[in-house]
Amino acid sequence: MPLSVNSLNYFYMTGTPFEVQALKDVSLTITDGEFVGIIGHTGCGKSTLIQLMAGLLKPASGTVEVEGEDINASGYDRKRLRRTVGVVFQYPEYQLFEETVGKDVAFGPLKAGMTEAEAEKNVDTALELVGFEPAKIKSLSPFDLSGGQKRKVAIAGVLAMDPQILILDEPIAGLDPLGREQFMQLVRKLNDCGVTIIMISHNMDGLADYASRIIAMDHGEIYADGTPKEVFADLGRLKKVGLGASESREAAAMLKNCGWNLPDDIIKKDELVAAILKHKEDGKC
Amino acid sequence: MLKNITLGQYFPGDTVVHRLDPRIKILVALLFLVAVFVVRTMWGFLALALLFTLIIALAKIGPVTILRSIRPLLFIIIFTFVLNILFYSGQTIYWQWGFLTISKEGIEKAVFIAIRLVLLIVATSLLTLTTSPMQLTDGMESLLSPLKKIKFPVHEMAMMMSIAMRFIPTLVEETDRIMKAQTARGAEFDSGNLLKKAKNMIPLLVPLFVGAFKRADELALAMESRCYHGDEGRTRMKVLHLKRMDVWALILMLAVSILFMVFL
Repeated sequence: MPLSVNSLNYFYMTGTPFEVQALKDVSLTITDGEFVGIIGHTGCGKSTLIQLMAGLLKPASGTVEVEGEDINASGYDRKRLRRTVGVVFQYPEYQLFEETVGKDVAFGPLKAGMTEAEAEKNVDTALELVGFEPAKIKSLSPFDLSGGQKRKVAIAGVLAMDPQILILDEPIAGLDPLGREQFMQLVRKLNDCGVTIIMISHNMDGLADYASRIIAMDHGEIYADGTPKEVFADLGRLKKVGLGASESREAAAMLKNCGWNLPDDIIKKDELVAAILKHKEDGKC
Repeated sequence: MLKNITLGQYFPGDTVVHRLDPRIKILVALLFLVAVFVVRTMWGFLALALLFTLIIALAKIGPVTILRSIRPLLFIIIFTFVLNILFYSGQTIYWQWGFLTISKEGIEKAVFIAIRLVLLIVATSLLTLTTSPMQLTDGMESLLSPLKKIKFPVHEMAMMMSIAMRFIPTLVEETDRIMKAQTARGAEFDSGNLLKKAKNMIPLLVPLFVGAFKRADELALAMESRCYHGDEGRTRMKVLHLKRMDVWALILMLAVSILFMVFL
């Protein structure tokens, strides 16, 4: 299910002295099965971009197309869009509202027009995916759970709609290291099953490990777009707009500054370790 | 969608009017309100309208902004206008049907009241457009401080007002966020009949209230851990100082308004 945006423009606070252009003529295409990481400092327009992609905002000009159909055209089936494109916002735990976890997770699927039985099945699958035993948790109140559990339930609520494209806005903010790792594993699992992932994140290490493509944004424009290796290669250019690369890439750059002969395409820990070992074997240190 | 609600409609700027002490501005606004009620002739209204226009120009507020502030009350203005025309029984009657009459006096009265309402709104908007909500509460607190003598909790009221105002944008933002999150899950907020609409609000209201209570709790804790204990011995970051400009503005406006009230 390819998703493409064409010359998108968007403004906040139109017609007041506070008017800002959040997106300037942004165009990009995301093909099936990609794992796209979107990076950029606060206020660069990344959240606006994903909200436009999900049809939650209307662009000032330009189009958003899912499967080649303009989602803002009159007569477009919004229900289908909601089923196709799932969105997990920052701190999704604040969107829980039902009496029980089961009901809350079933909210999306039922709204999307599934039958009770279908929804029930999807709820169980989604809860299992995020690491719960459905039978145990379904009857609990979501407000009695811990923060991390709440977030998982909220994410299950989106996954239960069985989206083909999953948009995530800084989903791991505030999670502990183990929670982060588990979450990234889950996202990768979904990606392996063919779900297109679009994820905003400040965690460059996570993106270096999992993303197949990284889009860097600055002041409402696309600043860099390519594989993690390509985007992270030019560290100086990233630093110019307040961004950085994965820790391994930064460490490799520092070693290179000290005279080590390391390539610019080291972005993961194991790559860095392998390069250092190789350097050692060559007897240069 | 919700981003367009401007609270207290403050319109930032750096003009003479913006820089005036909020206390002076509140007093002058009150003065204007009195003047609008006391003035009885068309000339008086014209003079007040001219005065307001002058201040609007000084504050560099666009005419559109002023008109926009009248819009929410347009219905009330038109409603009272029509009521006054139809129900006021005057001497010179143009048209009559049952208890409905249109008379010369009725039309005059209706026009007067409509103008009064518009001028009232403009006068108060002048205050709220050029004074930030925080300045407004500070000014109020300072003006009402004599009431502390009779144990009226002026400071607490002002603090409650500032907190409420401070959190309105936060709540609006939160509402917007939750609405979007639930919309993405297929919730619809603007379809169906009244009962259905009310039911559709549940996915929005429950998280909103949970969040608001949590935030109130956290705020109370944060305030207490910084030793907040009310008014006694509390100093301010921005102390209000009357400048010469403020005094002159007050004297000038007082003189002009009294002139209008006596002669027009």
